[in-house]
Amino acid sequence: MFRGLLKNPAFILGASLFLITLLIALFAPLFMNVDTQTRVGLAYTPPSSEHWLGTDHMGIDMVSMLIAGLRSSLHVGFLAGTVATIVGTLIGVYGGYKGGLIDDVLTVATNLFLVIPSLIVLILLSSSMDQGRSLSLIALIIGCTTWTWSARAVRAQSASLRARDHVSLARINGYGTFGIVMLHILPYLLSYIFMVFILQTATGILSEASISMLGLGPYDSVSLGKILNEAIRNEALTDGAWWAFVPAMVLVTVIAFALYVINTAMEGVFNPRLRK
Amino acid sequence: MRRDSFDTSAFTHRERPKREPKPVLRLLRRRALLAPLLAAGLCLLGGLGGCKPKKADSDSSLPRNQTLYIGGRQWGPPSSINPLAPQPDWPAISGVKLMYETLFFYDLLTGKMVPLLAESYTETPDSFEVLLHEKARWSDGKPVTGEDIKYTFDLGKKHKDIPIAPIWTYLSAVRLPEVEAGSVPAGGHPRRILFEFNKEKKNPLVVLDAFEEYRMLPKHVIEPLLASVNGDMNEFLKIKFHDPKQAVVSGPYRIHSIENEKIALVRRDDYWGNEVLHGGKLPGPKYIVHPVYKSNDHFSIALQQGRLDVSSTFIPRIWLKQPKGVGTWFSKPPYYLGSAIPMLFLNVTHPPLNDVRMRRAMGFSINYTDIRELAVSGYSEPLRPGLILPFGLESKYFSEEDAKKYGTWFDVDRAKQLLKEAGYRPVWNDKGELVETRDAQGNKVPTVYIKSPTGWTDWESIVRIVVRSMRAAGIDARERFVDASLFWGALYTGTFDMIMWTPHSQPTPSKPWSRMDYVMATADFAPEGEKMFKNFGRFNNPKAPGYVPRIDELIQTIPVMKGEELAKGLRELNALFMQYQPTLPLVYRADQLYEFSTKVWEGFPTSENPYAPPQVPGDRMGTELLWHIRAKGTN
Repeated sequence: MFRGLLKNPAFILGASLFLITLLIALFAPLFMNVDTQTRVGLAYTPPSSEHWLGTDHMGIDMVSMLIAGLRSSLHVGFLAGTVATIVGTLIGVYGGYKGGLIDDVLTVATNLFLVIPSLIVLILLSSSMDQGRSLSLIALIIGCTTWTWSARAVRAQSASLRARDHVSLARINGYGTFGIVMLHILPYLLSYIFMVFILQTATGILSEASISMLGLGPYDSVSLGKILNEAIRNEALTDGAWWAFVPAMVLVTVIAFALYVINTAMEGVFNPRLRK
Repeated sequence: MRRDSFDTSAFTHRERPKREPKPVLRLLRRRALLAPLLAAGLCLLGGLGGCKPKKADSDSSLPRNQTLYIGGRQWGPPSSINPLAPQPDWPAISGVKLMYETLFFYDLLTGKMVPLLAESYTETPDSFEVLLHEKARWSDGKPVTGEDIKYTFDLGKKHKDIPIAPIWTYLSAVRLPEVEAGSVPAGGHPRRILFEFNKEKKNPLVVLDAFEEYRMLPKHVIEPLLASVNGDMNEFLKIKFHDPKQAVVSGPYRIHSIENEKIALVRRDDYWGNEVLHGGKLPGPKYIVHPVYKSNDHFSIALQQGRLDVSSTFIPRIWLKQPKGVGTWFSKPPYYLGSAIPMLFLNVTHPPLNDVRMRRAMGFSINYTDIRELAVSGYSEPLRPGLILPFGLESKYFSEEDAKKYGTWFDVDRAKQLLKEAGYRPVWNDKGELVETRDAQGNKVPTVYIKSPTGWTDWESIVRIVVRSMRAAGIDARERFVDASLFWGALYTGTFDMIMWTPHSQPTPSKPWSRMDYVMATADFAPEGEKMFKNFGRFNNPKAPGYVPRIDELIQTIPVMKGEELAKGLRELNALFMQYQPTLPLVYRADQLYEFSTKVWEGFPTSENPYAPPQVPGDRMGTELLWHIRAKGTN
């Protein structure tokens, strides 16, 4: 299957793009001084050979800001994606396997969370935490407001597996719910859960960018959304300081696009119905 | 995207159509695909939102070349223009003299009182006697009399919650000598008003401020209205004054319309001042409109596009807007006329801010150049120590010698040395970042937080620079941006470590004394948790050890000093401020930001044509410019 993935041009494209952003985030600080504290010029100094993407409104090197922002955004994305996937998977798998009243209750709860506009909840929670809004806290909030999609997706798959022969056999052999779910259902859903995780990561990155752009992001960290927010509030657009917002926008878009393409390519390989 | 349109049953393996992607994943993918586009769109909308003309002014029926659009004085939908309301809407807000007028203007360029309703005043040791203009009239044709002035001031004596009430701390009586002597001319009206000082709290400066600050009201309108609600001020304040019959005014404009998106005034061609004060000329604009925008950048974009003519908002990098016809007082740095000092109030009851050595170390740690160049786009003269401006009218009181002897300035090494001498020890991590600060006993010093309203971009940048500077010196400070509603409560009740504020930001005759009073006054001292409207950091508690009575003594006596004695008193008080450092002055800024567009109107005052101070039309003496500006293409 993995070989199949490597032959898929879409996967190669998506994975390459994502890998590049990941490598920049992980290793750029080893090769250059990423300093988001020291002023190196005036506000919105244009790009130069010394500062490739100029400076922001505080006179700080934009390349440093982008690298720090990229790291933060990926941190939020992975953490939010993990939380949303774990919570959603647990609820979805358990409800789908158990069926009956438990499934009904969990489905109602999921649907209830689903109809609450997550962005509004996100904004309300973020704005209520005016003290010490950290990156991880933002990620947790995002994860806790986006798990419903994972739950619904996984529940349907789990419900379909419940009637499979190997699950019935396990039940006859005395396996409990935990054992069946862990050993006989989850392994069949791993590729599916991984795909959900990828999309939840993309959602986490975009959600962070959205709330940070609204001014509700983390206080003491740089993120791609915060870079966009500061650019808007400090009139970078009207002053023609494109370097203050275009690179951040491109990065957010590239990451989300890459994750989407990876997901599509993986589904094309892992889903027998879609496999050519 | 319709999330409710998906049926769970459709997701099962069996029922799903062949080769159809799983709907939930499909949905998630759509969401992922759309989201970047949405993010990009939002970003552009956020930035360019102000580019499209708002309905509020684009579909206006008012002729553009007769309408002056001003901005920055009204930030939400209007509700009331009751002139006695504590926080009314524009144009009833404090300082605006378009409808209701004060006795005098104050010219911040010359430091002199300029006649408005009153033509002159004389000062005696115990009082001011004010002479009204004989021809001053209300919009209903009745004369503005001494009775109106006495009634307006007396309202504050009876009703303690209205804006004019505090002046009665410094006045004992407002009298009409002509009425008392029975010398009012037949068919005339009393024009002389005697303001007697409170002998125990004599303060002519504050009374002069009142002449410039408080708008006079028509007794024959307000008295019956108040009587109709049985004298209940709370009920009276519910009257919105949107009805033109209620809004009987003496000023050059009256209400035209009040909508959620804008407030419009129309010129009164029969305004008494046209003849008496302006040689028969009419103000240039027939209409004045204040559109309601929500943020600085909206006002900025409107100004650059010529949809706004004058604004009083923070516009970064104004030099980039000059080619688009946007002007300020100076055409070169610092662009604005500095006259106020934004600063950090320190709660001196909170450790470690109760330690003057820590406060002075903070003063040495801050990079004031970064603040001036980055946070306020260079709109400030270089900061000098103390509470007296080293330029303009106040410069005669500034002492270079005291500044060097007692002041603080950016010197990180000095800050670190002071901390070391006081026993503070910063703890750094491997990356050279501050982890915490410890005191002489090895205990962790509490992190001090700086409160500032969220969304005030220039202040946010200032706070970030201060935090960065303090941490670099080894002081554990952090920013805390709060919603404006939480900010006011914290400011007045003292529930903060450090908080941003500009003391006494209005241009008044009492400066620089009033700025010092605002920062250090202990009258009406209240503990943290209770409201206090000056000295927010609870400095110099009269009941606490370490009280410095000399500070209070100077605050009380400076207002009656003159000449050399006044200069000496101000210098001593300023030196005491620098020694105790209860606040951290950060930068200079204009009392009122003033930008104009020359796309439609021309003739705005500038440093090269200073016929009026840099103030928004209608605000304080900025009212004067209305008689000087003309629409382009007209004489």
